[in-house]
Amino acid sequence: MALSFEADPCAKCEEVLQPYLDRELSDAERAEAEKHLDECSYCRKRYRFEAELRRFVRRRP
Amino acid sequence: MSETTPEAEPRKLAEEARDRVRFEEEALALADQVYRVARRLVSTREEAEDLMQETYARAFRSWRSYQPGTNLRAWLLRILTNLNIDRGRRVQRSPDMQPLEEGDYFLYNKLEEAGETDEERVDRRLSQDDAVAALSEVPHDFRDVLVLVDIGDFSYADAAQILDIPIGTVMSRLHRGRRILKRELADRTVGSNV
Repeated sequence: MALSFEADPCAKCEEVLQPYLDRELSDAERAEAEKHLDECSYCRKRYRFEAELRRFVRRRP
Repeated sequence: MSETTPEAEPRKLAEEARDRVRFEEEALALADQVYRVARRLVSTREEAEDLMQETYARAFRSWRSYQPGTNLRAWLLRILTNLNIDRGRRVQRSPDMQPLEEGDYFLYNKLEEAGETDEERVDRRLSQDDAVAALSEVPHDFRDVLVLVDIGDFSYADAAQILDIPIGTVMSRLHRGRRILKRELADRTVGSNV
């Protein structure tokens, strides 16, 4: 069964975090993810880490 | 009866030469971006430089098959990834056979367990050598997608087009490739002591 922000917001956030960083979510999905990230420090910390990791891997060796 | 005038042939040749020069200039302007992808696809700088050389040699040979106005970077990277596959860099093991228990937050959790909770300080625990070594452990099918999306900044649709695979395959390989990469990074940074 698909996760939802209503039923299990942090699990849903984990599910959409990578596509969010890839800018592949729809406007509605992105708005939901951003709303949750604003409200939840647990997910926000993980989001910042994942974004930083992405920048790190991207950096030219 | 032929319509060709005596002047038409030299004019055609001059136009073609101009088109070719324009193509080469545009392709070379993208060399930095193409190299960045090449550097992450293979393990060493020498291999990346070889791959670049072959890519541009093939691109310059086949320049007529490029359709002006379409995505030249994607066209060049399609050559690059195909050459990389042709060069037999695929690893022998079958990546789908490996069980993978780790979740998306695997590396975060490992660093947190090790007392590194500052999410903005990834590079305190990770070196660029770690990143190159960890990427080289990601099986090629997954790495090709990961490099195009994470480093080349391509959309899923563009990566699907470049690699000639369905978009669903791009998404599943990306998902799995990132988890493998995190496991490899965790092995290199935290080790087995947590």
